[in-house]
Amino acid sequence: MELSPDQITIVELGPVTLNATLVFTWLVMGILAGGSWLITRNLSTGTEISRWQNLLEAIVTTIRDQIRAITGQDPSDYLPFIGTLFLFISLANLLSVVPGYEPPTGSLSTTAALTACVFVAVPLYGVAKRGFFGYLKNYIEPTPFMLPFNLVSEISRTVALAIRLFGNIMSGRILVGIMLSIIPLLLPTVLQVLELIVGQIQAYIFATLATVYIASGTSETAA
Amino acid sequence: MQIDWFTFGAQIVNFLILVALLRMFLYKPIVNAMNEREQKIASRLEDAQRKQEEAAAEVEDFRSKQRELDQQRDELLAAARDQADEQRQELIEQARGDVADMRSDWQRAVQREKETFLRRLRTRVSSEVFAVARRALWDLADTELQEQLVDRFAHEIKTLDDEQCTAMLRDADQAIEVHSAFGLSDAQRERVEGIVREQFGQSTRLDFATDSDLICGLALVTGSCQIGWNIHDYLHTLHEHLEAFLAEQALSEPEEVVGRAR
Amino acid sequence: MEVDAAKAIGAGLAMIGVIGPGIGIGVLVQGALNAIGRNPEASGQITTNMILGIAFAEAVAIYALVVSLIILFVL
Repeated sequence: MELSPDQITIVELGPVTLNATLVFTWLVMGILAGGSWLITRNLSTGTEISRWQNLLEAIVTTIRDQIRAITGQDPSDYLPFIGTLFLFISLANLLSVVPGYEPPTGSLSTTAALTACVFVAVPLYGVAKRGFFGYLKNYIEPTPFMLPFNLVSEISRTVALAIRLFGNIMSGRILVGIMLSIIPLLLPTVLQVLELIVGQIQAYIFATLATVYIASGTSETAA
Repeated sequence: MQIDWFTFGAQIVNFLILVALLRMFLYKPIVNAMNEREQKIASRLEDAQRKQEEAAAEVEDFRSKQRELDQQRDELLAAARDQADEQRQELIEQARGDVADMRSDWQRAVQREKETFLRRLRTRVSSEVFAVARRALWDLADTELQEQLVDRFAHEIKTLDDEQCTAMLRDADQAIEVHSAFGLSDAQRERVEGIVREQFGQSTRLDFATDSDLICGLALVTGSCQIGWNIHDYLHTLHEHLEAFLAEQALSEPEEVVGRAR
Repeated sequence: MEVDAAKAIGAGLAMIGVIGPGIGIGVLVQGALNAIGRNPEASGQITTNMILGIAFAEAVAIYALVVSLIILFVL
């Protein structure tokens, strides 16, 4: 039993090995990008809108409201990054109901990559909002003695972010696998449903924590 | 459980590509569409607001016009009422005038009637009294009465005061006429002449005439004055008293009649 | 053979770390239910925050599970 979809090889092209993580990531990306392209191809600005457009608008509006509620700032700058994080993780977890699908978020490589993006995005947004020194001042607040603690917390929270998402999804996968080998009837289905809920919650938590980290890097009063 | 570093890098690239794709295909168009719709709705709301304001203004305008019309109507009605009142007043005045005219006409008619009646009564009474007196006196009148009349006349003349005498004499440039009901005898004539001359002077010329209107008695007549004693004078006095009494009655009578007519 | 036994023992011991999150989740739900009982109108927001808190607490249990699995399958 493979713990990670990284170890499942789909195609081998010479020296490059395309594992299941990459393939399913592309699938999720394709669905997201293609779906939004199809829907936004002909948007109406009147009062009559298609239900797909309505769905997308609801999603985007909700994400914007959430970002605004957490950061207290204009969500326009953060929307593409945070929104994409949430949509990608959410859809990747959601598709696990499809047989044969391995969620890419169950791979530590994927979650590490996402958290690395967050880890880089926090100082980028902070510098863009407050200037280089304004952002660096974050690390010596409230006192310069806090600098090592701030640095450790910065790294540990990133690692924790990656492990949390990976562990939840992976444990869910393994739990369902173990249950399938013990009680093959009904119970795995219930667990699958539970894992779907957990996957959505984790997507929400991941996006929310990323927003909180970015907000703490951009706002003056953040600790 | 290790991280596959190739996959790690590929996932970072994948994620960045996805961010770019979704930014291009999802967030921008959706946000733009929403903003556009919001603007449209805002403009539509503004439109509605403006239209409502216009409608309100029109309603206000209409109301003021209606108020104006009401006011005009009220004014017209008041004017008409005033006019009607005036007309009625005029009519009443006219009617009162008519009534007053009629009353005065009636009063005049009554007056006229009364006067006619009185005149007739007077004439009748006078004539009756005359007739009665005349008959009585005719029956009584004889020379002895004539004698007494002359005596009486003499007494009258003698008791004339000076004022009457001078008034008599002022007109006495012509002859003084002595009227009598019967022809006087010569002795009587002389006596009368004597009395008159004694009173007015010896040069006075006397003309004697018979006037049966006097019924009995004598009268001295100059141009305008008449002095003497005769039944006619008495009757004349009676006549005047009677007329005065009747006139007094007639004055109080019409009021009563008119009061009853109203 | 001894190595496998040691792995099993280690994995089992690693799962002791689940005790803490279990207690934590219990306390969390208790607090949330108390809050809902006092102010039922805010139940929606309280539930959302409760699930978030549970997810955070559960993450610790997941760490223990991950460690346990790593001991069992990777080492």
